[in-house]
Amino acid sequence: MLAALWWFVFTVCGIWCQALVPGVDFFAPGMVISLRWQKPGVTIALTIIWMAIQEGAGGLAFGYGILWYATLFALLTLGRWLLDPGSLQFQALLGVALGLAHFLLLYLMAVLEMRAFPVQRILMECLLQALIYPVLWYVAENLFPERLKRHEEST
Amino acid sequence: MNPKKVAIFLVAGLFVYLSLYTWNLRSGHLTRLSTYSGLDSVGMVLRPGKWLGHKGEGFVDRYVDLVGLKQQNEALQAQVNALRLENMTLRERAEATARLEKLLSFPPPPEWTRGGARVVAQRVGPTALLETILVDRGKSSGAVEDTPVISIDGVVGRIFRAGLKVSTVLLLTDPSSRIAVVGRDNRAEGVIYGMGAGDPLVVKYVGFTSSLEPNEILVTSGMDGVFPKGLPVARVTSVKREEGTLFMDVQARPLVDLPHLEEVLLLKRAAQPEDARPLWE
Repeated sequence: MLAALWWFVFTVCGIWCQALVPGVDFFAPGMVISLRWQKPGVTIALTIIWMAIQEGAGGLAFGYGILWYATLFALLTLGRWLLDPGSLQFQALLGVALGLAHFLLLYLMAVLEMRAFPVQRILMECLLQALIYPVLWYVAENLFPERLKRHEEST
Repeated sequence: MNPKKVAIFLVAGLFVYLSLYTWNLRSGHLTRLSTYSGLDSVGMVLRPGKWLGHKGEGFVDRYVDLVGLKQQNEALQAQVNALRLENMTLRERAEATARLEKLLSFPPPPEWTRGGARVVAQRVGPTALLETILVDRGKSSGAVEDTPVISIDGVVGRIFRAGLKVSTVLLLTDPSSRIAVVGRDNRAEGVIYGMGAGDPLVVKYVGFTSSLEPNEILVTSGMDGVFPKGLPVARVTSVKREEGTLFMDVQARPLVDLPHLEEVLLLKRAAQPEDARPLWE
């Protein structure tokens, strides 16, 4: 119940932040935290919800969300072999990688849909994504209830 | 992990993804599903906050910001008087036009109904590549794709994607926006292309011999089948004629202050019986 409430509040805050800072994904740190502390089923359910939000509110045909969260999952899996996923340094590196991935994926989708690609605006959004991600992860990780972490660890 | 397994997993994943993507491009089922679920849930979250913000601003405007109200009232009164005078003249001309059209057996122009909508947000999320805004009207209020969206200053854009309670509006500044226009004074025809936020609009296909001057207002011509005729769209900022080309280089600025839009109007074509009168009795 507490987990559901926490994720609900996180999602609502994420939507508001995305409306205030367009072009940046505020749910990505949530996926990382969920992967670390929650059951895989919870992460899958949350990712589907966030994907629907991103795809529905955006202007592209369905497809970006799958690639985006799959890239995040792949980067996390690869990074875990080399670094501690709980460290801020790792998350800062992940933020940079996400900023780059955002540019490449959006360019790919724009080409596939034959849309104009405003390079300067997208570069600014990538920079914001890279900078905001580790801060947001740090805040969310520290706000994530200990009770839920301990519960998941013991199981 | 076995590299062979990883490679197989990646290839299979890519194949599934591309199949899903191309199937959705053709059918649009997944896009529609995410519109009805994602777009509406975003609207559900943002609307209460926007409503509270609007009420709060109204309170401030009504009770606190009373400075200069008398002067503003006098200026507005003068403006109302000028508009009443202009309205009187225009009404005479409109009635004369209607009489002439009836005399010449013109079919009546299609009628449009208006409905107000509040702007819920500008672009939302990482996939917001297009220049869009979100408004709090959807299919449940009769808003569908390509519904014209205007404000009191002029054309804003058209509905790009409609959810049940929320819709995405493609702004006229987006590079994929096209609006057929005509000069209000000299009647030179062209098509307005968006060039991105903050950049001037480009008016293409204006004939080299056409008459079009800077500061002329461009209004919708109705030739695109989306917008009704006569809505103001943009003001011409520059006109260049270069030898050896068929068309002029024309730039324009939108009349609407798009980044600060709060309310818009959605237009809906009223049902009208088809005009089946013969041309000659």
